[in-house]
Order: sequence, then structure tokens, then C-alpha cells
Amino acid sequence: MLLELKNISKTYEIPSGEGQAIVLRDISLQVNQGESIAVVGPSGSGKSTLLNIIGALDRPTSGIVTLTGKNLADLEDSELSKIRNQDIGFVFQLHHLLPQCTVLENVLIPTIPLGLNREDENVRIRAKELLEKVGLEKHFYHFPAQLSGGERQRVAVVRALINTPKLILADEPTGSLDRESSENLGQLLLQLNKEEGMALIVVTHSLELARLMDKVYKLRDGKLENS
Amino acid sequence: MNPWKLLLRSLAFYRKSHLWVVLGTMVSTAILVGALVIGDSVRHSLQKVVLDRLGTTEYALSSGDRFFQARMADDLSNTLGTIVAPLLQTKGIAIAEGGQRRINNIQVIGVDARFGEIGGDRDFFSQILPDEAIVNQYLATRLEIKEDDEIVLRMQELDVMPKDAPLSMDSESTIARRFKVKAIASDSGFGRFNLKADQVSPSTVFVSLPALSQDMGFERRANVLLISERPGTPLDIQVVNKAVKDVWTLVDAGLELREITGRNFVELKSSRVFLDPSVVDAAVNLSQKARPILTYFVNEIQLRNRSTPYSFVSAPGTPIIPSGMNDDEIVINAWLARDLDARVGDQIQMIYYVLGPRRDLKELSSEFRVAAVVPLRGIYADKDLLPDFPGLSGEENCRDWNPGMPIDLDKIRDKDEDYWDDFRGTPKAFVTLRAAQKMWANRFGNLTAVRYSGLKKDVVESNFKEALDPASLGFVFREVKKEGLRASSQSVNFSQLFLGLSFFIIIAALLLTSLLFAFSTENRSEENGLFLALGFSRKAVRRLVLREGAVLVMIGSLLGSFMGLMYNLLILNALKTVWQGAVGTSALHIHFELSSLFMGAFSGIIVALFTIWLVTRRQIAHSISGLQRGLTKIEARGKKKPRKSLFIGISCVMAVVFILVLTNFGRGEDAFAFFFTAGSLLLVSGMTLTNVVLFRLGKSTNRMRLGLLNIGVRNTARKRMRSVTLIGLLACGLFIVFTVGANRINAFKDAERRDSGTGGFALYGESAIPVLYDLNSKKGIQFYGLERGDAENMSFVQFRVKEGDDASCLNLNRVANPQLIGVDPDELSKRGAFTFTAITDEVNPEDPWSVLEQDLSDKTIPVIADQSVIVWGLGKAVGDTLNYLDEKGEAFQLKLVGGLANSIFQGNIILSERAFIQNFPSISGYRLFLVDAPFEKIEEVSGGLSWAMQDQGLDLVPASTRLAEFNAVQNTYLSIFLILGSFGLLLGSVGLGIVVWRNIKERLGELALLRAVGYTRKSVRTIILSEHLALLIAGIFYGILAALLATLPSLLTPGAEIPYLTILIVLIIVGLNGAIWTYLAAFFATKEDLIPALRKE
Repeated sequence: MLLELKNISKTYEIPSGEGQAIVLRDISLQVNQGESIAVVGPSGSGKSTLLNIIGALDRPTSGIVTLTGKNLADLEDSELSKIRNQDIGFVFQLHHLLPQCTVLENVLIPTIPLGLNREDENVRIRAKELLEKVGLEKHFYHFPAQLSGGERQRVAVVRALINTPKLILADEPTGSLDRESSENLGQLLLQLNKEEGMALIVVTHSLELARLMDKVYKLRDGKLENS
Repeated sequence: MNPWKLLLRSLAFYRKSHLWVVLGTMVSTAILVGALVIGDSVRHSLQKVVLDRLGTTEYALSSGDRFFQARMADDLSNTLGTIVAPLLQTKGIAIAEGGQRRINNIQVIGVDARFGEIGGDRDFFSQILPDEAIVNQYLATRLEIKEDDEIVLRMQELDVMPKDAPLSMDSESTIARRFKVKAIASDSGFGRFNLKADQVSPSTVFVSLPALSQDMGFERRANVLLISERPGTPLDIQVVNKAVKDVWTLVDAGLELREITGRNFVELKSSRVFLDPSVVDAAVNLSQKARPILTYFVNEIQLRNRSTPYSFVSAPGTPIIPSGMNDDEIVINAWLARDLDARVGDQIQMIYYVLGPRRDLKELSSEFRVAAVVPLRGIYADKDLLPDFPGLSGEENCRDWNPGMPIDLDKIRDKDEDYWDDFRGTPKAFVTLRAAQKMWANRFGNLTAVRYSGLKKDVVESNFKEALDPASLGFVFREVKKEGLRASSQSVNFSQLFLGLSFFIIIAALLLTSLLFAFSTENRSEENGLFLALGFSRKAVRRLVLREGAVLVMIGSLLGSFMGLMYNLLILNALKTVWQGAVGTSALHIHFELSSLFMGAFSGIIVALFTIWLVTRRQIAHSISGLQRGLTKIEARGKKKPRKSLFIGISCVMAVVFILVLTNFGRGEDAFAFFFTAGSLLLVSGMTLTNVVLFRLGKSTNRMRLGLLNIGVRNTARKRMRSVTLIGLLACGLFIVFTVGANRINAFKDAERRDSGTGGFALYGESAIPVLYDLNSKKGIQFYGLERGDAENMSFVQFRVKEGDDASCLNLNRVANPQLIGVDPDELSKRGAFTFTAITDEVNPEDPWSVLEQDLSDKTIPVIADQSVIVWGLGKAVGDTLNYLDEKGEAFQLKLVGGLANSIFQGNIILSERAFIQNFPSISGYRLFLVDAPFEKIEEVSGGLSWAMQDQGLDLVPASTRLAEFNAVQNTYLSIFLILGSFGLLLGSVGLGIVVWRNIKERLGELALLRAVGYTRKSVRTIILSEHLALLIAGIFYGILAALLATLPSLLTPGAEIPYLTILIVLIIVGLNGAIWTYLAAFFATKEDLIPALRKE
């Protein structure tokens, strides 16, 4: 098993001092290698919070997250960073590309913590191959500002794949795209999921995108339900 | 891809925002480098002054009123293998334009080509004709003269016999000569020549050495020797002083050894009449055959109703004095016995003058029993017993006598004239040496001759030379170059000073750098969030940000270093012109050490990096998701009531009221310190109560009427700490700048009070020529013609002066030989003059001046000085000791027992006249005066006195003016602080603009919403402006209110030097500048279309 969530809860202090807001309640989930999952739910239902907890960006108030057999709660900040870098690939609603870097460079950003340098041609070749795979072969040396929204998001997807992670987390990946681009991106994610063999968890509003996944879960009142 | 490439990409992409960080670092580095380089420049300039004023001189000897033969220079030059220049130096008064321009206290120096050689231009000082003079640039400027103009010099007449010595002449103490100005000696052309460690050029006239020595009656003599550096092998001071010991002769010391023909003895005499104690020691201990002699001039010898006027009486020892004769017995010659009708056993009375301080003549008498009457022949008719009394021994007739004491020539009878004709000054009576010394010994000596029977002159001479150390007569070289360079290297530390004065700009620039960097980092918080999300550790992200900051900071520091040099030029120019009061010289040149440049740049980098590190540390510590959202969430309002702030605020207000009442609203004693405290407390209360008000404001919005201004003002409550910090920074800045800037010292306040810095004296005077008499005495008033002035309304306190380095704040060098002044402490004690800020245990607080007359247990001499001289001029503290050399070249210790509060004595060390005379017996007369006179007649008195004593070159200034000159230094520093602090404030107000920008950027969504619901762009700006201008106004209000309170005592002082205009201008500029930056920030931040920001929300 690649990922296991056991009784995950997340609460926040209400700033005005009027108690606590419960975002996630007792969530358990198991994800296997190569599996694709969609989590749907209304705004504010805690989808992104759940994704952040899975992605080691946030810690649960209670419960255990196990990724590749490691309990994330037991890990130091630096070890969590390593997991985020090598085991997880993130795709955000907003692409979060660095405007100062070219497309190729953006893709290669996650390789910096690995200490790979530009002499390591294999990484560059892989980056280029992935970019070609998503149809961006003509844009290696373009800057994000020179790309369309869909293209930027595809760069973000390739960036998530560059370190061959075991799990891709996509937070509303089509949220800022038009319909056509959304469909293309959905197909692309699925294709890569199959081809690269990594698990995929997508948090989305889009039922069309959700339906493309192996399993669909619904997050309601902080609880995760099978859809 | 690697971190460096990423770094380069980021630097290039964010170059616009980076530019501001670079600029901020540049400014702070420039100030740091500038301050350090100013230190280098001042130190280097002072070192240059040392080289300018000394040329290649390495050692100098100044023998004062002992005039050695100029050939000594040749002998030394041959022995040491370097140039040795003899000079004849005296003081004088320079007069130009027929008396319209007059400069007192100048140095007149007789020079020849050798002096020019030491100065680097042999020809310039060679062949000065007897009626020609070379004037130095400083004096030429002051006198407004040029080449070929004519000047008159009134010079102090040099005399081997100290003016305070008994029977020395008091008349004709100056000679006047007319000169044509041959050339003007520039500062770099040795015109600055000065043996004192001072950056201020002296006023000097160079004349021909042969001509001056002839005018002074000391042909081919000199009183100063300069030894040039020896090329190749440097000279050692011990070698130099050993050479002096080898080459000096008795003639150089004013001594004469002569064989008395036919009598088989050799006699040692001095042209100073009295033999110096060190000479006596050497001479008497030379041989058992030495016979000490003391001969004196008596006014009258009486027996019953008969008297003989004006005779010489001697103590010649055996065989003239029979062995076993008592001290109250006298041997008289037959002439006197006849004149008085005296016989053995008669009791005769001898009346004579002794000379006290201030040439205070006392007529004393002693009684003697006639032990023997001896014939006027043989050993009893010894004309040679008469020393060379000036005005007596050389005269043809008794009626031509003109000694330095009053004689009634009418008393001289024909038979007295006959005696003079036949026997000259042959003593008429003889007493024992002990009796003679009891009556006539004085500080100049207790013998007038030493005789050696049966010894050859050359044997005596060589033995005597061996026995006497010429250093004891002042023939000792000083390492003037070494001392000068040491004094300049330990000079006032301008680096530290300007770092302190620029404190505010540095803080403001750093604040700006941190704000700009924080702003830039915040804008890129999403990027940092992304890095974290992509698996960069926090450390790695921090390193990325810091690395970028480091590059910016390094670029900024590099540019700042160059800008620092420019800043340094600007400051140096200001110090040479508008701020000259702080340094007293325009001889400042830019100079920098690479180490200073490196240190400044390095400090700039470290400080800026630290600032950036603080910012980065805080920002990267946010949650990853928070960073990814761009930290735009609305900050929660503190729910906790600021009770602590309320308590502190109210306590401070109560303390302020208490202080006001305690000090009688600024009229009480020590009001200055109390009010500064009160001002500070008010500032604290302002800050804390603002926190409370903002809290209330944030809570009570529903009771307020909604309006654009209200919304703005209410917004200030949202980030309370940021608002309070902003107000606090602005207020503290204004407070410190204004309180320090406005607290100038006012010399004119309470100038009439005895406990003030003037000691309550109306005038302060210094004379070029020593004043010999007590100006309060009838004799003094008559002698100097003061009866024409307002003599009855004046009284004087007179000081003897041992010239030395100026230890006041006007001299930037760290002096080792400060000027000593000797006074009768009772004069100051009875007036209760001046205030002491620090005293040692030896001092009686009720009568502090009396300590000067105390004999301290550790054998040191108690001295008092101005506290600022002790701390800054000497680098000492009260209780410390100073080493000094007395006239004989022997070391003695001065103990600083008291420090005076800011006084006119800056630059001097005060000791008792008794101790002064003990250590410097040859220094005659008084050259420093404090004058009590009616303050309303100050100009009249000053004018009359200056006129009466113009031949003495008396320079008089109101004591308060003198004090103001010293205060000007401190006041100039305060002005510099005010100006630099104001620049810091301006820079700080730019920071306000950045805060506005940052606030707006944080709330773009909220502002967009306002736009979306129909607010015009103008309305949005009004809200922003009202919020931030409220902070600006509050900051200025608190700062000014607190500063006003802190400086209230100064404000209430009549004639206080408050720079109102400067303060007002600074205030307006700071206010306007803040408003403009706020407006610009609001304008540009809202210029873009705000609606897209809504999407992000």
C-alpha cells in the first residue's frame, strides 16, 4: 500500500475565541500504487486541507498518515521535505510557475534539492521528454508569461513528474482553465498516471474530471464518503 | 538547473524591486564607510599638519630664557651628521596699517637657511635682510597683508635674568621694529612651523636670526635647536642628548669661569646673577676648595641716627669672615665704620628689599653686631665680589643707577659717588653665608658666585662640565615628531563620533532596507511556499532567499563604499566651512585606509544581511499553505485587552505631572535632567495609550458614524502593533533629534554667577608679554597706566603660564604636555568661583580650591582642570596622575584632584602659584587674567584695559564669549546631529511610504471589493491616506510634544540658543515628505485595476 490515512481529524481555532472549527472528522483512506482517486465536495468542505495533510504540507490534529510505510508524524521537517520532493508531485490550481525561469527550468526546479546539476544530462533529457509528451516541445525556452493558462498548467504537471514521484496530488488542477483545456489536462493526468505508474489523487469540483478516476470520494461535513 | 542559475534568474527578473534594497544598503554602507573614512581623513590630516609644522624636524630643544651660542648647532651637526638649525624665538605683537590691525600673541622666530632646509626649501628662508620678515599665511590673512607691505613688530625683549628675580629690570620689556614683508610662507612651505601639537596654525613672523639676536643683545645666540631626521641611520634620543652633553660650554649656559689675576683663584658667575640650584650643586660639590658667595644690594645701613645708603653686602666666607663668626655678626670696612661712626660691638641695622611674587617689594631689616672693622684694602677691597647686577654694576655714576627696584637717587651723597669712583661695587660689609642666604635667598638661587682657590681654570671647567647635566638647565631635546604623530594618532576619534552622529541615518537606512526586503520577500511568498511544497527544506529556502539578499547587499555595499567616499568629501567640506567650529581648521584632506573601506563595507554587509536574515526567518516560518496563498489573509484582531499598556501609560502620565510639580514647572534646580526624563515618559505614555485607543477604536466601530475618513482611521486599529511601531519610530526619531539638537549650551546664561562656567568674571585676557606686577596693587595700576581706566571697579586674578599644548576641545590631538597655569587658589576660593563636577577625597567640598595648597601624601602636586579637558583632551579621569618635566628636566607628577564643569579653563591645568614657581622658577610674570568688572561696563572696561596694556599685547574677551567659543564645538556637533538626524528622519519617512504600499498590497482584495461595490478610486485613496496620515500626524505630534516637554527648561531660558527655524523647517520637510510618500504609495498601489485581486480572495 502506498498511502494510508487512519482516523484523520483537523480542527482550527476560531480567531474570535469562540471555540474550534472541525474541518476533517475521522477520515480513513487507503491508496495503492497506480491507483487514481478523486475527492469532490463543496467549497470549504476541507478538500484542500485533506490534500495538504496527505502532501505533508500540513499536519493533522489527530490520526496517522502513512506514506510508503512511513508515519509522517514521526518525521522531522527535513525528512518531510525530502518526501515532498521525491515521493510526491504537486499540481496546484494556480500553476505557481516561477516567472523568472524558462519552462525547462521550471520543470527542473524540484531537482535542485537533489543536488543534481546541469551536467546531469539525464534529468534534462527526461524533462524534455516529458514536455514533449505534453505537447510543449516548442516551448522549452519560453517564459511562463509567454504561455497560455492550459500550457502553464501542463508545465506544472511535468514539474510534478520530474522526480518520478510515487504519488501525484492535484488540487483543483483545472480550476483556472477553460473547458477544453480542463478536458485535455484531465486526460493528460490520467495518461501519465497509467504510463508512469504513480498514484493520483485529484481534489476537484469538476465531476467530469472526477469521473475519469478509478475511485471517487465525496467530502461532506468533514467526512469522506464513497461516491 | 541549479541554485546559482536560479539566483541569477531571480536577480534579473526582480531587478526593479531589488534596486531599492540595493539603494537602502548603499545608503547605510555609505554612512558607515563615510564615518570611518572621516576618521582616517582627520587622522591623516592631523599627521600631515605634524609634518607641515615640523618639516623634517625630529628632535627639538627649547631653552627658553637661556641663550646658547649658535655654534652649538654646528657642533651638534658635525657630531650627529644631520642638519641642526638654531632659532631665536620670542613672542610679540604684529601691527599693520599704522596700528589699525593688530594681532597679539604671535611667535617671532629668527631663522637662517638651515631652518629652510629642514622645512624643505633652503632658499626661501635664507638671506632675509635685517629689515625683512617672512609672514606665515595664517597671520598674513589675519593681518590682511601681502608681500612688500610693511608691518611693525613689538617683540618681547629677551633677557637672561628672569623678570621676577631680585634686581632685574622691569622697564623696556619690549622692542619695536619695522619690517618689510619679504614673502608669505604657506602652510606647506613651513609657514605652519610650531613645536606645539595643535592643528590650528600659529601666527608667526620669521626674521633674520643674526639681526634678531643682535636686536635682542644676544649676538649669535639662539634659544631653540631643531635636529633634522638623519638620512640613513635614524638618530636615537639618547645619542642626541649625549651629544648635547659633549658640545655644550659654560658660555651656552650663561656661566662664566674666570681667573682672578693675582689672587690665585677661579670664580664661577652667572649672567643671571643668581646661580641656579643645579649649578650650585655641581659647583660646590666639585672641590673642597669651593667657596660659595652671596652678594646683595641693600638700601640702607643704619646706626643710631646715621645711615649709609645703597651699598653692597657680601657673604664671601673665609678668610674675610673670621672663622667662628656668628650669623648675627657683621664685618664692616673702615669706610662704612667711619661713615656710621661704628665700632666693634655696635648694633647696626641693615635695610633691604626682597621681591615677592608679582614683584611685590618688601622692605625688610636685619640687625647685626659689628664683629670687626677691616681696612679697605687687600682681600677686603674685592670689587669682583659684585655680581653683574643690571642697571648697577655697569654704570659710571651712582646717579645713573637704574636697578629693578625703586631707589631714591637724592639720598646718594658725594662721598657715595666717590666710593663708587674709587672702589666701584666693593662690598662695605660682610656677613656669614647662612645669614646672607636667610635674608636674600630666592627661587632663582642662593649664591652669586663660587670661588676655587688654587685650582686651574681648565681643570675646574672640565670637572664642572662633567658634574653638571645640561638637561637641568633645560638643554634637553624632545622627540617632537614622535610626540606629534602620537598626539595625532590618538586624536579625537572622528570615526566613532560620526558613527554616533549618523546613528539615525544608519538606523533609517537599515529600516528601509529591511522594509524593502520584507516587502519584496512578501511579494514572493508564494514562490517560497512553492519551493517548500516541492520539497525544498526551510533551510534550503532560507538559503536561497539569503543568497539573493547577500548578492544585493554586496552590490549595495560595494556601491555604498564609493558613495561613502563622496559622503566623506561632503562632510569634510562641511567641516572645513559651515562646521569648522568643530575642528577649528580647514587643513582637512580626504584620505582612506583600505581597512576602513573594507571594514565599512563589511559592516554594511553584515548589518544589512542580519536585517534580511531577521526578515527571512520570520517569513519562511509561516505555514506552507499560508505562504502559497501569499499571506493575504486578514490578520486576526487581538482580543486581549491591552491592560499592561493602559497601566504603563497612566503611570507615565502621573510621573510626568509629578516631575512638573517637583521642578516647579521648569524653574527648579536640575530641571534639565528631570525634564528630559519627563519627555521620555510622555513619549512612552503616548505609545502605550495609542495602543489602548486603537484597541478601543477597533472594538467600537458600530458606534461610529461610517465615513471615508472614519474607515481609514479605523483601519489603523487592524494592525495595532504595526501602527504603534510606526508612530513610535517617527516620534522617537523626532524626540531624539530635537532634544539633542535643541539642548545647546548657552554660555551667556548666568554668566554673572560665580558658579557658572565664567566663574562670574567679566573678562578673560591673555598677554603676549608677561605682566610683572600685581594689577590690583597701586604699583601695578601705576606701572601699566590703569588709573586712566576704571581701575577702582576692576579686580584681577592673575595666572602664571607654562606654555604647552592646548588641551581644550579646540585641539583635536591627544595632548601629552598641556599648558599649566599657576594661581593663588585663595583668589578663586574667596570668590567661590566655578563649579566642580568631580573631586577626589583630598578635596574639601566646602572649599575645593584650597586643595591646591595641600601637600599630598603621595608627593604629587594637586591640580584642577576642566572636566572635558581631563576626559577628552587628556584621556584621563579625576584621581589620575600626569607626568610632567620641570624646568630642570626632572619628572614630577600632577594629580588631577578636581574637574570643573564646562568652564573657561578649557585647555589648561591649574595648580597653585607656589607649586608653579617651585617647578618653573624661571618663568616670570603673568600672562593669563580673569577680570572682575561691572558687566554693564564690560566694553568700556575692556577697551580701556586693552589700550593701557597694548604693549603687553593683552587680548581681552568677555569671559562668556570665551566660554561660547568652547561651547561652539559642542554646539556644532549638536548641529551636525540635528542635520544628519533630520536626513535620517527623511529617510525614515520614505519608510512610511513603503509601509503604506505594503499595507495596500496586503489588502488589495479588500480595496478591490470597495471598488467593486462602487467606491471611486479617489474614495479608496482617501481611506488609505486618512489611515496613514493619521499615523504620521500622531508620530509627529507625540515626538514634538515629548521633545517640547524635555527641552522646556532650555526654552524658558532667556537667550537660549534654540534652533527654532531649523527645527521648523525639518518638521515641515518631514511632514511633507511623509505625506508625499504616503500619497505616492497610495496612488501607485491603487492605479492598477484592483478587480483581479478579488479573484485571488
